[in-house]
Amino acid sequence: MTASLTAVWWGGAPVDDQIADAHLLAAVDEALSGSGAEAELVCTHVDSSAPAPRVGVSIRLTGEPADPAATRSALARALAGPVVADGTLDADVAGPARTALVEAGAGDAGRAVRFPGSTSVTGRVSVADLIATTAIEQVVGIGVAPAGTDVVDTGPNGFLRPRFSGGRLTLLVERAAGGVLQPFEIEDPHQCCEGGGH
Amino acid sequence: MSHDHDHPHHDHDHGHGHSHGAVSGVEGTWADPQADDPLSVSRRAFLATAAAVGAAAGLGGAVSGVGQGVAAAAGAGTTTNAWTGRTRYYAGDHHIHTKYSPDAQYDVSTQVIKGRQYGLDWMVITDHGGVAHQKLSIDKITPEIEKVRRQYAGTMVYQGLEWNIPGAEHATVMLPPGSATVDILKAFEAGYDGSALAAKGVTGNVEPYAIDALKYLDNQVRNRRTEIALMFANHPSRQGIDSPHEIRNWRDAAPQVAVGMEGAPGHQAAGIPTSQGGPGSGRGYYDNAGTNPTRFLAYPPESYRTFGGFDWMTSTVGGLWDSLLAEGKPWWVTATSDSHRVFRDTRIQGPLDFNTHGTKGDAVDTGRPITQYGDFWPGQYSSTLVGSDSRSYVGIMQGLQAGKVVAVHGRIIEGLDVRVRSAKDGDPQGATLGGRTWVRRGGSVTVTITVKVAGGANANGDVPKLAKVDLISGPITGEASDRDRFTAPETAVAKTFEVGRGRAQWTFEHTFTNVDRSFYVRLRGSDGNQLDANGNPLMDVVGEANPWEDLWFYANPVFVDAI
Repeated sequence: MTASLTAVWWGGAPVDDQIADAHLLAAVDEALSGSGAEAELVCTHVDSSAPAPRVGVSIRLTGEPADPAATRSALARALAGPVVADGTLDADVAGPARTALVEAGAGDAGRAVRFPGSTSVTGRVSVADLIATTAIEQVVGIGVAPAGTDVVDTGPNGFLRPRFSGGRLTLLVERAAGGVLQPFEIEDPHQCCEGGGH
Repeated sequence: MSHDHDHPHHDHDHGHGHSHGAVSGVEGTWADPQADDPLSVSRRAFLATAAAVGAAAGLGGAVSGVGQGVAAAAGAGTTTNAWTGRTRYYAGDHHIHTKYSPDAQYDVSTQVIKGRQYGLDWMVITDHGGVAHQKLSIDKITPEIEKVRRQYAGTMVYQGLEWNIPGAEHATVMLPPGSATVDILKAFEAGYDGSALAAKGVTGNVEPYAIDALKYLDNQVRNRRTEIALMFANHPSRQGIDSPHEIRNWRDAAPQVAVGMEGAPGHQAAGIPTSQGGPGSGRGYYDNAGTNPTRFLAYPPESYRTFGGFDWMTSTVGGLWDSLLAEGKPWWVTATSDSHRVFRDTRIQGPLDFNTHGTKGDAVDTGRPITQYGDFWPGQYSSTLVGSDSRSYVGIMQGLQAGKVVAVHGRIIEGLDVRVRSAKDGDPQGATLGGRTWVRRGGSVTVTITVKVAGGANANGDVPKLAKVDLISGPITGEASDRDRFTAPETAVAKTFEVGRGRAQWTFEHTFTNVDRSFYVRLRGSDGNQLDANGNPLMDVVGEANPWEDLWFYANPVFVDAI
């Protein structure tokens, strides 16, 4: 196995547009298990190239798997959709996978489900610590200007879903009850109308 | 009232007369007390047909800067929704669930009794569309609604639907009682509910189905199966999936049917902090971050939150609502309860399997208040005031269709009389909410506002104090070339009136001088408790937004043509 100085990126197009984060991560990890590589950054993207938007996934690996083709096939089975490596000149690459790779490469969109340092955070943490200990590069407030000493309540599970914006992995936060900040995306937003059909 | 009011430039025979017929129908004929006279039926049918033809002609390309639709229909030099000074308001709620929704639990009678207790005159029962609802629930709820109508004859209880708009959010669909009402609702739901379509395997870009659905309703009016049918887009910003072009497409596909949106969503108790014994969620359950892949990507993060309890589309000055109004076309805002399960009620859902029975069954009393529920009873917090000339099912709907509508929270006001006129340079009678009037270029237009403040306690036991009224205005800039536009940068607060204490009603006046462009005005008012530096509402904090501490009203616009 040759260590690569440049990151290894894969793009995927899961068949399930509403795939839950946990299912996505489980599928990725299972497919990569024993391959010699791990997924250190996993983002979801929205591909709007067709009239009905689709979800794409970008994955940054810790290195090239021992058998890239076999591992990609395993991941494609897990996602029930195509998986391609960055740099592939295949014109038939599915729109969502291509969009995911393009957006991830430019760092201008994409919602990070896993990122370096994401598993180390739980509960209340300062803005400065978030930036120091994770891949999050900036914390941006909606209706508030966060200082480094401001505290972000990430909840008991350390739920963080930063998004790429302008080339930087950015965590959006807003004011929360009790004088702290909370991530704009929370773990358990209200689920509307079960059985409502969306 | 009739169209015989006194102004000299009323011109029924100008080039836009085809559409004007629709407005005459709303104003002069349908709403008349005599409208129930069978002899007037043919007249009404004629007007309905004329309205549809007018709309079609507008879509055909003869669209001027002001476009087609109710407010635009009259064209220059005419007035619609003529001011009378005698507008009677009827309080109501067009978004109420019962045990015939999979996520709700009350009997129709429970909701209606509560709504009456909180002062509502009219209510629309809007259970979620879906396969089981279409097959099972409609037949079960219809006799319940009919029974409640007989029991509470003074209250208008509409049978409606919360439609899953294909490719978008939910919407109220409402019809007046009639021999075909249930048949129309069933056919509509089977053919056009997003959930029913998905169950049939219809996927991909389903936006065209929404257009077909609205045209179907419009056709029911044209074919005289119902006198009127209305649609309001519910909680439009909640998931970011009502894109600006979809809203424009709905409006333009059936301008007599698709007439507005919830300016304020329901679920207003959801933001009560846990420290105050509340659910501690997002006000309106607006607490998500825009993760639905079908969302409109250009909506900013703050669009997923309410501001002073109102949806971002409505609460933003120069925002999406204003971008629609700046086209000179009607689009009205309302306030509803979306009542499913009420904050501190002691009941839980019945035990039945919804998909098998079309209902959860009777709610079960636990004997202890449940503080996780985020809703209010109909009328307890939110009400939609509708100006109508008749206390009738069709009359209320005509008031809604005509935009004589004020969205009110927590009894911050009880009544509002708005008169927009040009005494010297136009129509001295003027127009009121939802209407249109005119002024000669260079002339003056005066807005006279009489607001009746709360004469007693609201449902929280507070006597709310109106602190200010904002007069907002913006130019009519014509049809948007970008159908996804959601800004109107020239719309701004023109004048803020401070409201004092110790009087039952207050009158304010503002004159726009040297008017050289067509424009519109609209009003909002607040208790002044939570304002930013510009007097705008604050973004509601998830988990810390007690709705009783932040009260607003929003009134619908009046358009002024400069000719």
